[in-house]
Amino acid sequence: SIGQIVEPCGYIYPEFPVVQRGSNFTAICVLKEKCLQQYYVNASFIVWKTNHAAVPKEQVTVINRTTSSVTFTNMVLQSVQLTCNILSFGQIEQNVYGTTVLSGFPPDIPTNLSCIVHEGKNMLCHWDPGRETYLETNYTLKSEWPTEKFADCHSKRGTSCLVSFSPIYFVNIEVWVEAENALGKVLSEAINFDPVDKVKPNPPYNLSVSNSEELSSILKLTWNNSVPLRLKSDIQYRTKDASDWIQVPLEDTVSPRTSFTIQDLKPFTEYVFRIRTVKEDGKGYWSDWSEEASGITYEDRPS
Amino acid sequence: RAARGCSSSSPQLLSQLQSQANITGDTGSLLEPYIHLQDLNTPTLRAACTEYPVAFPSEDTLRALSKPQFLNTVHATLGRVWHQLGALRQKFLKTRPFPALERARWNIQGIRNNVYCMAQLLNHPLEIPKPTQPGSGASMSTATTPSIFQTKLDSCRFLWSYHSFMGSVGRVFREWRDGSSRSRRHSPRHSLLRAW
Repeated sequence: SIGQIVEPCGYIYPEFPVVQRGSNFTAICVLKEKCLQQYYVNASFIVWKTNHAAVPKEQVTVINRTTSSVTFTNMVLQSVQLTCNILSFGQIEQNVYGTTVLSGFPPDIPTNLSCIVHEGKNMLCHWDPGRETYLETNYTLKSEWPTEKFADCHSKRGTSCLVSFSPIYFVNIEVWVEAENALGKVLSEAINFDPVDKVKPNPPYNLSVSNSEELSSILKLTWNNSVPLRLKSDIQYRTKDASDWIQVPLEDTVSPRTSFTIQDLKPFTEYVFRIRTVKEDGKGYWSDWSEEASGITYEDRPS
Repeated sequence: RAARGCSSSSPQLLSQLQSQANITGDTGSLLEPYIHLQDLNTPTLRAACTEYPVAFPSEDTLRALSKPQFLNTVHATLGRVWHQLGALRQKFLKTRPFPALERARWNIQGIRNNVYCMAQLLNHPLEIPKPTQPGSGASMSTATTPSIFQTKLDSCRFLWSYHSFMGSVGRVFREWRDGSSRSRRHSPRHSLLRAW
């Protein structure tokens, strides 16, 4: 009757085929009894097509009155339109059913999982997903304490995930990745770490430079650190017009500090400074550089 | 044997527990923001906040416990603090955000996690705590006077007591690290709190 959905005269099985690339694949088309009489057909009248091109007869097998199978070897195409059609009344080709055959790979075990804690904000974990799967593959970052499970982080790109919560310091967290598609599911190795050892501090701020009337060869830097952790600093400077930065020896700034005096500078010269920090024991990541600040050394006293 | 996910290193766990105790013993992490949020920032109200401290296990009580008992007491006490802060949080959900409270609750769960791991390492898995005798400082019922101001003050006293308790916990853990947890030496009770 009008408006009623037209019942197909048959079905293809499997209905949503996903095949490992390079493997063989067989599908069957099963006609409905009522259609056999209505269109004076049987399974030998079935014409298989891939992307609208007829499949060679050698790949087709009539299994019984209602069922025909088609076999493909070494499936390499990522996506193929497979249709089951019949020659009704022996001559009019009509489509019975169609499906899309996808081919790809099961996910590889994700490797090189590592995480970075953006201080006070979030945690970004990234990993190597391995080879391209050519299939829709879901990557989920799992994280837990022995006594607490945290919300799954569903990755959009399959190579990283931004965990929305700011992890708690001083509690070891276990993190791993689950990868799943139609052809399989795998788990990465778990990594177990204290988030405090993966911190990338926010850059130092309020960097200010002051000169000394008594000593024209020095400038004193002061700044604020953003995190209540023990941090060491990396200080670089250059004269205003220079392009290369001069490095303050790292061993001079290994202890936590919020000020430092630069010596042996040229008198009455403008210098530009920048600072970055990392956890005192070197674990974690260097912060980004602070905003630059500049200052001018005092004039030399007339001798 | 370390439980899955637990650190298998007792020194690392102790170091973590101590760092956590430092954070949670610092009134700046929760009490100070609460005092400012609740307009209790006057000398008189601050003084009132430290009167009649809510009963937590005292430092001497904690020090007298065996290691497994100590871990159980800390775990159970912090479980109650976590619920108490949950109730406090409900009040703030209706008024204004209080991020320090959320962070404090997570820090508490973090400590309980480490305490759980330490208990596993000592081969004394945590038991479900039995209600302990009054005066042993484990009960934490707060005054039930319904007035808003009284409730604010009661919560203030509770937070102050909680920070104080964590200071005691931190010192006991430090003694574990020093291997002198059995000494009866009563170190003078340092005020862990910021100068009022």
